[in-house]
Amino acid sequence: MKLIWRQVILALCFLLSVPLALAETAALDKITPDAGDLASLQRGFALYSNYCSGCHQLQYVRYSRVAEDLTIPKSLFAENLLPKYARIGDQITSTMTKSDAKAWFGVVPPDLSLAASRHSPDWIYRYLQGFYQDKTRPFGVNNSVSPDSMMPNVLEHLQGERQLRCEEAANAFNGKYSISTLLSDSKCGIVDGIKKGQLTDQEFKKVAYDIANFLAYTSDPSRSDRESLGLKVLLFIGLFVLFAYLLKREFWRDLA
Amino acid sequence: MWSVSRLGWSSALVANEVNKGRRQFLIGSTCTLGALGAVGVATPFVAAWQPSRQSRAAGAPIQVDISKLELGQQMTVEWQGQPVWVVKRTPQNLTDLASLTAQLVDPSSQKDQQPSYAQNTYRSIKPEISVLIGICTHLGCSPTYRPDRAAKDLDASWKGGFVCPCHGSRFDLAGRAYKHYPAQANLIVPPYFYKTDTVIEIGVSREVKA
Amino acid sequence: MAVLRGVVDWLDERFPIKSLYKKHFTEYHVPKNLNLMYVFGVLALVLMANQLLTGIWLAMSYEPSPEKAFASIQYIMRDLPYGWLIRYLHTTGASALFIVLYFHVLRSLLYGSYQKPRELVWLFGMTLYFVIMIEGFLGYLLPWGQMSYWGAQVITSIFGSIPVVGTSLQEWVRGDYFVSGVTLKRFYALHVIAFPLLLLLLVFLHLSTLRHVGSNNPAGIDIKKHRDQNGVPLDTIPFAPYFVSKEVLAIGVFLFLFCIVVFFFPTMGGYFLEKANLEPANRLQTPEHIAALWYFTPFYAMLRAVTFSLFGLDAKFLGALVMVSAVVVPFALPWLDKSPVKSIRYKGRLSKLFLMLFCLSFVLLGVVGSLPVSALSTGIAQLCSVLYFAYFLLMPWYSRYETTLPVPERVQ
Repeated sequence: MKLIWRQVILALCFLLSVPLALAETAALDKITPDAGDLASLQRGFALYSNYCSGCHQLQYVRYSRVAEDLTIPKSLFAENLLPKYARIGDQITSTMTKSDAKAWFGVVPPDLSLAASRHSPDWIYRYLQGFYQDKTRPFGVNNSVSPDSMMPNVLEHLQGERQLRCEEAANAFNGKYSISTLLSDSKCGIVDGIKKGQLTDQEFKKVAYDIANFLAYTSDPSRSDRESLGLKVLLFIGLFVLFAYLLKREFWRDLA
Repeated sequence: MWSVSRLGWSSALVANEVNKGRRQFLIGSTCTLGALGAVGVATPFVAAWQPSRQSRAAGAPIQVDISKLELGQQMTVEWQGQPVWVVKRTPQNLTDLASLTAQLVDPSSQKDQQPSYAQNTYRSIKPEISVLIGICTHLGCSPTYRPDRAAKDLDASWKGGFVCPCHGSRFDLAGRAYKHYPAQANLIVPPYFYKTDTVIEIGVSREVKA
Repeated sequence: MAVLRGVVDWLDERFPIKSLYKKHFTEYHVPKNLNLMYVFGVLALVLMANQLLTGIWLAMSYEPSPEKAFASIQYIMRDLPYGWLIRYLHTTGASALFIVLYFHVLRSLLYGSYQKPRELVWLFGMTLYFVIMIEGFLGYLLPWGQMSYWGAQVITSIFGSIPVVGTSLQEWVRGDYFVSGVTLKRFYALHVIAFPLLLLLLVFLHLSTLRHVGSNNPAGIDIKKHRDQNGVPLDTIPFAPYFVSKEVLAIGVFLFLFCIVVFFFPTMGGYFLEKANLEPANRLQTPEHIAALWYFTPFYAMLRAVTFSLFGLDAKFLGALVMVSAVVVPFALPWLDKSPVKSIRYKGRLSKLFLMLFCLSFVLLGVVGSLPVSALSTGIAQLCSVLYFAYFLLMPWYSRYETTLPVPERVQ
């Protein structure tokens, strides 16, 4: 009996893995945020603290909530991850003032609490990988996902410099095409530049994934609570429906 | 609950044999599940009245630097929206405290108005430093600090303490209530511990933190 | 049990609860052939209760000011215990209420429930629908996101299109030259106090007029014609426990589906909660694509369908006129339907055709209204608007001249 079950499960796994593998190759830029992958979320938060928190805010998120949800012990969190000026119950704000930001970047860097819901986790994942060298831009880089973005490539030393290379037919940026249509028509592509980064492509993809996954968590922190409670609620209502159905049938026997 | 006779009447109903036991069971179990569901629905609404993360963050333990506190001086800090007093008592005050026993409601702090580590004559960890929640145990006003011994408007035997402006309750410098005044319980000592020699963390005990 | 009976008896001596219960439950008779379409009324009632309860709780933590509104929603979603659940119940409830109401109204159209003697039930019902739409619109400003802000901006601009008084009326509605904190506060007061009170009154009137004339049925047969020796109409069943047990089952099934959305798809892919609304309102920048919330899209499509001026009235005003008429014209339905029969089962081919076209056009308008404007979408919207109004305005003609089938005397 047990053997049969094992075979059935193996067969099912095999059947399921085929379309999954296909989907994976089909959509390279699609990611599935995993609120249960605490290691990824913790890495994501550490990356956020190192590279993003200087300019961006997570003003609706509290350090204590992050510590709690990511199961980082509070004392450990307070010693290693909490900025000196903050208390653990505080919201995650940046020290940069709005006027400084305007002066340095021309725009106030957006708050990231809801970024993954506002765009999508995929968008952030692609955005972080979308930088390429462009001398015409103030910080020397442009972004293929959000053209003319005002953000410097803070992860450049990890990823290395990247360059935009276009087929000859499409080399003219005559305003007719936006960079994103050129990229989607695959007339242009982003290729490695001269300077190599500290990480390999695969490692850098993981960095981008961890940050996107962390921001997916911050934009919807109740998700894991919601889904686990939802399952219980549905089971209960299902039971109620069963009894309500039996009761209805019982009464309606009188009308048969 | 519903016997057939109380079901109402209509010619559309046919006189089928009714299995009373089954019907009773189904009515009972569906109603029970419904009631359980109602409790379930009520849960988030009741829970939503608890202090939120914002309130809990605002009410988190605070750190107080007492290095600049002089002998006989009182400082007031806010914790969870309440005044918390830190008083540095003089040696004279401490000898007075031991002599007041007969005039007090609960001189040895039997009532649970303090953490166990403050259940002593001085109601404090270090004898000279008193930490008290400045809310009268009578009806919630904040008493006034009256360190002046034998104050004219009080009486000649006054050894210093706190007097409530609302109903005149009196407490000694350890927050213990005097007999024959409205308040019948000592002032509350909040949980606290010495983070360093001169920094107190109010709102949490050391045992809990460890 | 004995205690309970004692309490009931004590109360009954002072207030006739036993006879009220009899009158409205055990001895209130409903047609025995009521089908699935008849459960949407009670579902709407359940959702109204949900909106009221969750709304009260949201009002405890929401702050109606431009500075704090957006942040207070995030406070509810993140800091308040179970705040996310309460808010998702409210937002999903709003969308669900419209879904339920659209089925509820379709039921009326199918079986002629608006016909004599149920005209008042229909009028109160339509008023309810109208008021609920305004209530939804008012509530949508409160999160103070980009879509909230620009949605309110667009809809209040409609007042500005009225000739002569437009501009001053628009300023009067906003209480300012633009949608501002003043507008937000008055929308809030109306959303949480004025309209809920009005809705309660209307629900009471809708239900009491219905209880007075009794429910119609899918066959559209007047069941009161044939009574037994006790005066109880034949072909009916007592409301309680028979129909009540059916409604309880329906509520259970509905809550199951509702909770799937609340717990697993609360934004419904951006239809119940729009992505652009996750950005705080910015007066100086309109989002790229402004779509009305899904339940307004049919009417929004009609507003945009009018792209031409007529009789010296400009397109903007005509569009608004068409949109308002789309809600007002259905009020007259009981007097537009000249058919001798109620139910679609016995009506002629034309009625069936026009009702089908009406439903199709309503759905298409909804789809078109959520898409960006294009020549094609405008064309579809114009055609569908014509079909929408044709159903109502041609009804006096087609309902009178088509041949109907004979209605049976008794429910089969």
